[in-house]
Amino acid sequence: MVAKGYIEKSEVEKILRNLQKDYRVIAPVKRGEFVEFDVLGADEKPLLDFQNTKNIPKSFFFPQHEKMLSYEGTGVGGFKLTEAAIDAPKTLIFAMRPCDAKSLVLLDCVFDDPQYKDPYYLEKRKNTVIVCLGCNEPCPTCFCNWVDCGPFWQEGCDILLTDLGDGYIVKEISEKGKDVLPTSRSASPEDEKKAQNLALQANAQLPKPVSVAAAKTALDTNFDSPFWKEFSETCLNCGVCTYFCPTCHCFDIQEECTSCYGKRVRNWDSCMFEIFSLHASGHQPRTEKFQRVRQRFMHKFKYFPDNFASFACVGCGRCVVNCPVNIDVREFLTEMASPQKEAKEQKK
Amino acid sequence: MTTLAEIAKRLLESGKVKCVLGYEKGTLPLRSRPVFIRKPEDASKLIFDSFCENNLATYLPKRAEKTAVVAKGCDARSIVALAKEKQIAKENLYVIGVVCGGVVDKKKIEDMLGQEPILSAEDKGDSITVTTRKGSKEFKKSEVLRENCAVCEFKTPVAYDELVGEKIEEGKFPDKYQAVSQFETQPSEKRWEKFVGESAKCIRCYACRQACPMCYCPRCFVDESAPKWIDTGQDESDVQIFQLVRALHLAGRCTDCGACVSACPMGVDIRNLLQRLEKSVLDKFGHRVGVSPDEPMPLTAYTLEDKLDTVIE
Amino acid sequence: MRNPYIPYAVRISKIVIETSDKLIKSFDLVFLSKEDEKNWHHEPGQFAELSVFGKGEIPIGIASSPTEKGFLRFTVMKVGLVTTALHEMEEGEEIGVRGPLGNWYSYEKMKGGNIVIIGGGFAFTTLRAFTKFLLHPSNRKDFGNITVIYGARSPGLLLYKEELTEWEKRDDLSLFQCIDWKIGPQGPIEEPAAPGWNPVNMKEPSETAVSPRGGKFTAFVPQMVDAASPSSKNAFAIICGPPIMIKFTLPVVTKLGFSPENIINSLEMRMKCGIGKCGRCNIGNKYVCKDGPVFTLAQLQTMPKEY
Repeated sequence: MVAKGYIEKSEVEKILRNLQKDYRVIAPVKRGEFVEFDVLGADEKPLLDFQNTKNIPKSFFFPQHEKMLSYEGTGVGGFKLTEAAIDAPKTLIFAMRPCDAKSLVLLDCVFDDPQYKDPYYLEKRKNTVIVCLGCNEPCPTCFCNWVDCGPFWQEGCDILLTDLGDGYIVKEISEKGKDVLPTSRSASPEDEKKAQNLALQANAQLPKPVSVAAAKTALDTNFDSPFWKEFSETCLNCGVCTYFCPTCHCFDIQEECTSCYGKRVRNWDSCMFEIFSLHASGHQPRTEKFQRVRQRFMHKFKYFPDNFASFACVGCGRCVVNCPVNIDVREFLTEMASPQKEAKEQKK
Repeated sequence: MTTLAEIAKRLLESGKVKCVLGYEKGTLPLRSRPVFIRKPEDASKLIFDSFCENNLATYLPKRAEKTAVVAKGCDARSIVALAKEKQIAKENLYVIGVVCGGVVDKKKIEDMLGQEPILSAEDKGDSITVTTRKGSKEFKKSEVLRENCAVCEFKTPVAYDELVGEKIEEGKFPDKYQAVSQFETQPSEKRWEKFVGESAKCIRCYACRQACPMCYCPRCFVDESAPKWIDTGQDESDVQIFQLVRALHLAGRCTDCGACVSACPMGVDIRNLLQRLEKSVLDKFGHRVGVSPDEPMPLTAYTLEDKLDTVIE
Repeated sequence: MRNPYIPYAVRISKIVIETSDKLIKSFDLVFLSKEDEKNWHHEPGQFAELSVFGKGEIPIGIASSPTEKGFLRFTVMKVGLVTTALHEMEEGEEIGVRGPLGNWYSYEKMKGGNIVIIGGGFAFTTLRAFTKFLLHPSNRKDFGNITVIYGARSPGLLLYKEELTEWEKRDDLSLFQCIDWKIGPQGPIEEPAAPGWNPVNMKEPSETAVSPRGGKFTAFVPQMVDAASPSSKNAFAIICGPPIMIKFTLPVVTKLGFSPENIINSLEMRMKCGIGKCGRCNIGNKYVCKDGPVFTLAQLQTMPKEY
């Protein structure tokens, strides 16, 4: 595990200014009361002493609102169709957390399907370099180690930084990350030892892992369990968990138009909303709240892994922190993974 | 003095209700969360503290089961309003009123701690002790109260079947609407700026709507496609219309319970609109929502004595 | 690779009002670009997303067989925002079509076998595509007996009357048409619901005297299937219809001996992207737009009942 180099913290601003000449640089910055990923202003300093951002970097690849195509009436019942120009400038995202980086790898499974490739998402992916910052101090709500991820996980990172206090160790992970960040010197063996200790300490701060694989096994046979009604009873069916989730990818396609000019857009949507699955005929496959809640959890921990061999969760904890009624996915997984649950269901 | 748990146990064992809707300890610091208790042995989960930020009346519309609900002053007023709007069957409901000293504003506390992650929090009554990795800090509860709780005049619920807690002296806040009045003296550009700024934070997650007991429409106007009132994206004016129209739909119905503010993940100042409407309704109709069980709802009942000029300025 | 969200431009070349209540119309579409027409190839059972610009997109089964050249036919019922707009359009107006999407009736597996096609009401659209496909001279010899059983509430509500008239005369398929019983105060009335539509035996449908060539009957579709009693030997049953019809037809085909692997359904769901990305049309871990809409009963039995 040989790291590439070392950057002094005092150099970071200069490096970013240089990068801003070639890239649209996105970094954590203070926006109102929150820390958010946003385009770094020409003179703006990034906020690198942060836990995780309020917003999710997935928005830079799959925005909440995106134009897909536009059309104009030609007056005689005809239309002129124009594919929307894909907004994908050369971008560098600085200090993304490894959980958010892994979420992009999971979203690739959906948007980079061999049969249908989503150009709006993929163009942005292609043009973006991801510089991750490992987590020395995970949040009390993080549980990345439960879902095949971790504070220094490399999946999805082009470069991984480790904060040693006075500077960062820079580790190039992918081809894209090669030679992007200039380093002041190479990392010494002491630096590397420090980094390894930090990684061990960080992992020690995370909650003891629950077997999500065991949870999935329970979910394989529990579709009709009375558990769902009980579990979902306090859910408000708002869209907070889905809108803060780095791996959620549901969207709605809508028309926005005047009398002769219009555009087709896609907006984030949520399986929590009642009209999500409503047929034009009025038929509703998910009439009750518990069916919608069940859909969300099954999708994350059973359907997605059935199709892609990965849980659709990176343990970032945003759904836990933001849920207005404190429904906790960690509790859910713990309950599902417990041997009593399996035994109870098997007896039935 | 009987506790919530004892009351719940009694109600469930006697079969008077099928479930008790109350609060239990949450999995996060500064959070107590809604819980449905159906077994008498689970009644001990019920608590009431300064972290009970949800309005449980939101679960009540069209509820078929016989339910007991724990209600703070503001929540009890919502229940009265819902009953007037015929959304709840009174015979199926048993209201356990709780005397409430107010709910803390967790965002305020997080800000005061410089966003340092909170490991645990303890409600000591007059103070809240919060522990982070950097140590513990004690806050006077009065310093960190939710905005609406700081001017609450209904600490004891107005209507209940049974009351938990000693009645405390109600605060009087004649300046309750001072901030609102001051805001309204500002030039319209400044007021517009505030409105645009707050709406810009909104991500259309509808947590406010779902948390609100008075938002019970089977199909909300934002979800309607024929006619399509607004689009579902993040267009500025669409978001503004959502914020504005939702507030207008709540005029004369909102009890300032603060559940929407606590639910909003983006910190939108929803009360800026709602309080101005509340003041307007008080000025025009002399009406405070959910206080009297007999007074009709001001904007849905019409009498010949009502003024015919515009209701909202 | 082509952007899968961009529709092809097409022109409405013909509109046919299919039903007496005027709620169902068939639209024949021709590509504006010869290039697009050349690149289009669909299989029977697939669907496409029709774009009415300014209103939206709707997933509609392709009612024309790939053997019918020069146009695509879609049969659309007026139910909502987009379908109403489409119904108000005239020949010559332009819309968009995106596709072909989804999987199809796996006729390769059915070669050498007998095919029983069972449809109810408005759901017959892709079954028309399939029947036309099977009957095409280049395909007909690959399949054994073809039986088509199609029912609707009344004669006026049957789709594709022109095709039905043509098929009645053919000797290489059996066509059973049926219309619903008239319902009186004591239940269904045991007499022809319309002249020429002979009632089946209501209590024992299989006792009805039925010519193997087919005919016109008064019966609900499940009873018609029972009366027609198509053999399940080396046979496949393709069933499309409203949920209630499917619910009562499945026991009948099962009784006749069709195995779950050989009973085929086409499902409907609310769809938007049609390509398995927007997340809304799933049943369990399958997307109806991408892994379906055609599923065998054997597959459906392993999927959650959430549709």
